[in-house]
Amino acid sequence: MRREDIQRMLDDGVGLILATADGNCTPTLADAEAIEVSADSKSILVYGSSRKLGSVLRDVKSNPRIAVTIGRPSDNAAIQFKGLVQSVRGTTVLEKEKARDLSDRYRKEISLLGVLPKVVTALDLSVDTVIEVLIVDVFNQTPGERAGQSLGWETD
Amino acid sequence: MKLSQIDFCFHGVVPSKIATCSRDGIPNAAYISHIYRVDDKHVASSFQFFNKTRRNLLENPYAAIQVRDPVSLHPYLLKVKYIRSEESGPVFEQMSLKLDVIASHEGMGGIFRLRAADIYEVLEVTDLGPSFPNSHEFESQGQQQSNEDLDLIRVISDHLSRIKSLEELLDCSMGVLHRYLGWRHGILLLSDSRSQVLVTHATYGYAEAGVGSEVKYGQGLVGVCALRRRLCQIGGIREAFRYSKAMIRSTEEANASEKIPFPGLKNPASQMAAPILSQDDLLGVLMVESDAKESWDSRDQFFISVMTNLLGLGIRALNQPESSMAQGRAADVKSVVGQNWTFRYLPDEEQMFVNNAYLIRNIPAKILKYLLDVYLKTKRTEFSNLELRTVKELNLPGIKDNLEARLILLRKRLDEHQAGVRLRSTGRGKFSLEVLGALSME
Repeated sequence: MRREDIQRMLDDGVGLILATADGNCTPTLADAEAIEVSADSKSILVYGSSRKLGSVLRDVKSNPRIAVTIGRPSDNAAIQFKGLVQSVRGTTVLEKEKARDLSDRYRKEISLLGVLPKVVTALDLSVDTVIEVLIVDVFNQTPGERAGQSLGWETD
Repeated sequence: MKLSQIDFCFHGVVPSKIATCSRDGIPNAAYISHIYRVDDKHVASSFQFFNKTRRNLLENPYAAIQVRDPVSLHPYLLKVKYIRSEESGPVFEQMSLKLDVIASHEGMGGIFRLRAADIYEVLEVTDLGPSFPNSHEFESQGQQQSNEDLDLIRVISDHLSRIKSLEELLDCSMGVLHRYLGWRHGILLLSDSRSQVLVTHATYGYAEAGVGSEVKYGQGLVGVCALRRRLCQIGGIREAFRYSKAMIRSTEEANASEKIPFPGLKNPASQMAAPILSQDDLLGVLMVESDAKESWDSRDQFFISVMTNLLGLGIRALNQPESSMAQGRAADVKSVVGQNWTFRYLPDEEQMFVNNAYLIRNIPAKILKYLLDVYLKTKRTEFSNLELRTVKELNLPGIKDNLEARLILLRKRLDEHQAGVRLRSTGRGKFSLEVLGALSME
């Protein structure tokens, strides 16, 4: 699997799940709002809000392992990145705009599925935090027998 | 916070999210189609595939699950601990039912097989958003609703208790669903245990009534309801179909070869069906569906059960041999008087056609064949239920023959089809054949 394959899903608008675990292997999850793959395909940048990411941000201080699943609501196609958190920092103005563009695609995607317009509008998809994740592997996460199969990952 | 306060999150409308972790600390994030609420301290998920989530749970039972309100998308986080898997019992049955319904829609029974219901103890529930009514508001709303519902039961039972004939009961029950319960689309089917099918007798909210259309036991929500003899509901149908990568409506698929299309919404959001039982007999199924309502709540379940209980009593009482076929509404006969009508009966298929168009099948077709044969030979037009019970070719069962319901169905089909003959009640257990044109039988 290559960066371009992921990009096709991102263009459609995707939902995101972040999963981490603390030092006792107790997992937690949080929503993130947008994602992009770095130009060299070695890492992903996950954009989210520090308010929603609280427990995840706490976990990665003691255990940098993270799972990031992107899912396309219209057909439930999903892919999971497994990786290691490299850094956590605030977003730049440019990154906020980029994240807004990506999350707007998600709004359109769920609008097409019948979510009420007022709900779509009210969703708080603002971002203030970027998590940089070094990609270790990528898995098929679409529901079914093939969920969990490694898709391989090609870097430039 | 009690799980029952956020019950709508567990109707399978919005996919949930689950995080697990392997024993060596590697987290896993996955979407999960449906988290079920077992009680106020337990939830369940379906085990269909032995995936990473499942493997992690067996190594490390702790997980985090996010569920959402299906309308507002308001999120809640459940910290849970996997405690056991159940391969039978009510929770397993409930999950299996939904999979059976989807499988029957898609013809994918093998793929949708449920291996077990994975049960989790809920350790903590966190409201991830700021605006949510507190428990006091829920309690006061609940009390007011209870009082209104008690009054509604009285009104409905009073309304149905005034009904004098089976046909009136079937038709009026549809009006009750709409008028008092606000359900916009409903279908009442009666069981033909001989053929293991359900036959549509009354509908409302559809462009085509579809009276006489059939659903086999086990097909779609209605068929599964008949087979299992229990209330079945499926919410988030569109979401469930997206999960199975198809948007095919079961009734279309199940009835592709049938002569009368099954009524129903093309793209329902939710359906609910309840069996009409009397003693140990399945009398029929009442099904309601919605294109707007994503799921049915416990109040909906309660009222469909009240309705089917009342229908069970009413059908049993009004389907007695001495009761009479209802008068029914007078069909407009002007357009059919004087025309020629050629009937053709196919004995192997037990189907009756008129002017090469399908009319009806099974016992109602055999009854019509008998009535037409008698008329064409003797010109006799007066008949009785008792006479029909003595006709060997009809092969009616000795008791519980549902003759009244079969005559109503036949009368409705003749009226609907304007087939040149009509059945009219002439007294208790008596009726006449009204001939409106020149009849012949091939």
